[in-house]
Amino acid sequence: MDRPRPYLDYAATTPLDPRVQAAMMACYDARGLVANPASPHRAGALAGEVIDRATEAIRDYLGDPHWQVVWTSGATEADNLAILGTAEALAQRRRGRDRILITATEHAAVTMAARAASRYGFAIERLPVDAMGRLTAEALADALDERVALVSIAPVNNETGVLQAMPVLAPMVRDAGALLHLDAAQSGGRVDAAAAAYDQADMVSLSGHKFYGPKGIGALCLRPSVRVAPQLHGGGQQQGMRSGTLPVPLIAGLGEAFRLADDAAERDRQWSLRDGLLAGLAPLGGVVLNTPAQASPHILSVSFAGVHGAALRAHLDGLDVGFGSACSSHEGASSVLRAMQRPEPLAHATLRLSLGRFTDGSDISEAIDRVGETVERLRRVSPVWRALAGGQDIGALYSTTTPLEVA
Amino acid sequence: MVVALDHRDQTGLGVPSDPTGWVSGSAGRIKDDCQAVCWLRSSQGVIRAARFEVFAGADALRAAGWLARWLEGRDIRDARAVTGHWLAQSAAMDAESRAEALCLEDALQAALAALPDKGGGCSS
Repeated sequence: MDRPRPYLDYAATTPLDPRVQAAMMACYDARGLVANPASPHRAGALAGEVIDRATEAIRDYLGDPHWQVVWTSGATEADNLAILGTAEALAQRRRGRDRILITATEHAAVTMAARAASRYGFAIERLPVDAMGRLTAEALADALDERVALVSIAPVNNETGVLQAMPVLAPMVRDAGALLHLDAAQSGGRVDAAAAAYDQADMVSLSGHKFYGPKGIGALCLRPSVRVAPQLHGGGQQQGMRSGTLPVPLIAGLGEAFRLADDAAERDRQWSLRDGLLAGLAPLGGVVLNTPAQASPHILSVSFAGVHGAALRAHLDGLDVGFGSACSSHEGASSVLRAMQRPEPLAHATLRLSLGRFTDGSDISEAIDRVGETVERLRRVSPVWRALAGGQDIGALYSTTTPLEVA
Repeated sequence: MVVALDHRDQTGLGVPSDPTGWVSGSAGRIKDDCQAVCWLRSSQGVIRAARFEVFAGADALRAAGWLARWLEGRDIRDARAVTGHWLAQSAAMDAESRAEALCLEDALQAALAALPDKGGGCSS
């Protein structure tokens, strides 16, 4: 059988880990039944025990047995519950805090939820990042005051993999008296819990399918003292925080996925693969780094100077990767790269190569070959690349003063 | 006429291996999402060879390669009649690539203007 084409889009979604799949299938009894954990009979109690084990796995990963875990359909719903739920709850109490801060590079699940929260009277403000996507302590300090109710930060960005300096940033938010929400869709299971500062957060959103679990499940983890107004109403499950019958096999899968969180050895293995990927692409020249040194090991974002983004998308065959723009360049480049002040034409010519637990060296070698061949082919006919190869400055050519780090 | 073009085919694309005897004309800017350079070599009022350098989408690359092949052996006066609209139709470009067709037209016209042999005369 032919080897499957390399899949380097783990930041978009991950394969289901076979051990997670086994945990999910173990939920079904000989009748194919998974009972409703709210049912007051033995089968229901058994289903409840599955939920309890998954809850413990999440608490263990986050490093504190006191987290309240609210199961959701995914990280998007968790982000909405965190931001809209907090805004609604605070609005009911009218505490005088009326600002919500989000990093400028947040996922749409956060930015759009924050935008929706403005209906409760909150001003939504985007925290600027530097050219490598980092939220600096200075930028956060400038924005924090006694009116800030909530700050939402993704410890690991979904497009660049940048790992924010959470051990520095999180105490600043707490000292300002604001709530801290972490969208951990990318950091969850991957980075060390201390690096993500989960212990200093008030709310953490987790995703199943971003970390070898099933699609359709996520969680919002809250400190017991945090109040959020429910956004889904119904039978009052989960202490009324999120109504709906619990999807026991999905929850079992999420719990198992986080029980199997990456350890230091797996992170080192991915670092090695990622370093090899960058080392293999760097000789192409004109490879602009969008991922700083302080990053999650699973994402490498690079832009190829002199290459047109739409052509890169059309010509890159045999490799599943993420791109720096939507299907057409006319739809605009990624909001993350624009927040990092990347010129649009360069942002379009961006690949997000994200790897994971099942990536091996041959995937990396093949990716280097395929990307390299495509980039070189497009550059052979590019007047922009000819100018760069002739010594023209990349910043001048792309009309930008943003410092670009070229590998 | 609708043509099927292989986007991997780079015939007619890129700088001439030896630019001696060629003229070029350019159009577009990076920030306009299309930049093109047209290279032409002519004699006795006829285009003997044509090439394009293109920074644009895949459709524009295909169309530029096709246009380069079409131009070879054509009278310069025929080349002057090329328009972006005609190119977009002839090379079956996507509707969203029409602006890139105009960029290729502009590059071609700039190169034609640079020809010492304006058509009907002798080559330099």
